[in-house]
Amino acid sequence: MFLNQHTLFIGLLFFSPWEPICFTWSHILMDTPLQSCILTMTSHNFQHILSWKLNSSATMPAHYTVSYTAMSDDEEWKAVESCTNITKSSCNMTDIYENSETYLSQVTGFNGKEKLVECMHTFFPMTDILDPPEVSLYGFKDAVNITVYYPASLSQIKNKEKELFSAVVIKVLSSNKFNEGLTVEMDDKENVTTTIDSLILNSNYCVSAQWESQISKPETQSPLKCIVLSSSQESGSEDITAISFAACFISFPIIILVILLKKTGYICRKQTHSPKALDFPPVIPGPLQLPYVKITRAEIIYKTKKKKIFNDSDDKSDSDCESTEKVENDYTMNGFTCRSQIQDSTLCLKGYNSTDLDPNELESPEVDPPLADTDNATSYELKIGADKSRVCQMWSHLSEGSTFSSRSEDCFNFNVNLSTVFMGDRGDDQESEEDAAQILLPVQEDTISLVDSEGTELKHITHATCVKTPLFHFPSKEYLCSENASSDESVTSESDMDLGDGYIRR
Amino acid sequence: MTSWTLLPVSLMLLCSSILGSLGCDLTQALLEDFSLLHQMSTFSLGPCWKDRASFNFPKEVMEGCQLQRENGTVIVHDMLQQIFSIFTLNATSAAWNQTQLIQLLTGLDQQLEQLERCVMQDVEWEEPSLGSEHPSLALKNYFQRISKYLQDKEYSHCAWEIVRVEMRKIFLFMSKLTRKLRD
Repeated sequence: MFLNQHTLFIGLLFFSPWEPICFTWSHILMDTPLQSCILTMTSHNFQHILSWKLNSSATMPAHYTVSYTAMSDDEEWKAVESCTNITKSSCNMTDIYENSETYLSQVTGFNGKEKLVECMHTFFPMTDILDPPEVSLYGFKDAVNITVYYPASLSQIKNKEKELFSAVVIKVLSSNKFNEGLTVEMDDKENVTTTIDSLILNSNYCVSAQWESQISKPETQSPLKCIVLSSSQESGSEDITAISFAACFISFPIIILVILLKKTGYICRKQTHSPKALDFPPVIPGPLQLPYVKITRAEIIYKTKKKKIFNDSDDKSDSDCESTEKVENDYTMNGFTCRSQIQDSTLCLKGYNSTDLDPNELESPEVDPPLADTDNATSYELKIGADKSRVCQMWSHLSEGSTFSSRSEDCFNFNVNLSTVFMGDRGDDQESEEDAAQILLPVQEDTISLVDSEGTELKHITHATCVKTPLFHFPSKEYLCSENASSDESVTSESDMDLGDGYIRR
Repeated sequence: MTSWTLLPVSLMLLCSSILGSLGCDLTQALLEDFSLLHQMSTFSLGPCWKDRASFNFPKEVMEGCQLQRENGTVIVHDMLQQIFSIFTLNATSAAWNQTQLIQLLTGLDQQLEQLERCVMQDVEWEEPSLGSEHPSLALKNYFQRISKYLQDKEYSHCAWEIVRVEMRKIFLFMSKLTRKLRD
């Protein structure tokens, strides 16, 4: 075959011109078929994008170059500057095209310097722009308002090209065979509204729009928008009025009801605050206490004198005392009822301000050392028996100078000089408040024997003596002392004491 | 009695002038012609890229003469007349849709008659001044180049396609012109 081609070549040299032979020869030996491609031009928002796709999956070109020419231009291909030696398969050619011209676009694919792909495409922008104008409808009574919106993308193209998109044709179609075409001139960058009146009520009207300079085809026309003109359509404004009236008629009664409920206090109750003068602090019932009077609880410390008469077993007899409570004239008198000898211990008598105190809460006699080892011993008498519920007080050591020392805020230790005080029995209910506030302390100097734990009386003063001391003010409900003078077993002392009133006086 | 006979005559003249002025807006008609030109051929222009030719349409001259309504109407009339003459040649492309071609020619004829009525009412031709090209002369030269091109290409299919594409552009120009004249 190669020999035949050479033979043919030699023969043609003699019988044919040289240049066409060379061209043909080079074509036979060196021409390779170029791949074709599918070119697609998409025009949206007045932007023209050329894209391509290879038909075969042969050798892919490394890069592409896009060139163009106009049909009414006899010049050579012009390369698109932004689409030279590109790797992507698309090119924006908006700035190159004039909408009234017809163009040829050529895409050439290279792999190095070797041309692999070449394809061509014709494009007439004016007929390929498929973005119709956007419209809206508003109907009232027997008229329709049509609004054509100016596309924002139109402002991006050349002013010269905008002239082809300066007018919109509106087609009005109706079911009653009413057809009308309107031409609306678009103002620069503004929406335009036109009105069609004298329409028939209860009829359906549809509107479609397209650019005037574009060829009429489905792709260049906007979607149909329809409206039915009815007699009740008089408003929109009437509907709004009806809705507003309904809202008022419903909301007004609700508001009135809420106000009434609030006024009557069913809802949103306000806490009424009483005047501050009527605000009383939580006060425990009792006598009125003046703020300048310092009320303290008196605590009489019971002190037992160590005597031989006391048995050893009595050393622990402190617990035999029991506290009692007596309510007289709204006051509570508390005391201790001791069933056995009291040793030389200190009993603290405490006064309580409340009648509701549980007598069991009274402290048991505390064993304290004698406050003072004075010359005057303390003698005291304790209780007699169960049938005589007399309460006796216990006293601490008495000293010449009656002194008391406070062991704590609520407890006072009294050192009373018996020679200076009175003694008495306060078991009557007729005691006054003032009397009840007195401390009755033994004044006898004589040694007083005590009742032993077995209840055997001794020849001693069995009554309690009380002494008035102005230093203390005990609440009247405190029971200070009582006497058992009514007991026959009480032995009066040989001393000169008057027991008429239950007091032992000297 | 004379007044009674003169009244309908005057009314007829008034109505004809009004109708005539209204009939001078050919924007829609021109766009319909444009649509027919676009649709009557479905062949690709790719194979005809070698037959491309530049006819040098005198756009600048046309745009300069748009200031007056009467001159614009005359220009459109002249252009339609030339186009009509080209497409009525017997050697038009057989590949075209003949129905649409006939519709195009019929529409051109009606538009010419309509424009003739408009031109006869108001036209006052200015005498061409030295040194300036009259629009009609520029248009005449333009259409002579097209006729010669077709003759040189022997009225080939691609030559007719190139001419069809050129005419499509001309109709768009005329529609822009008439739109401006009606505003």
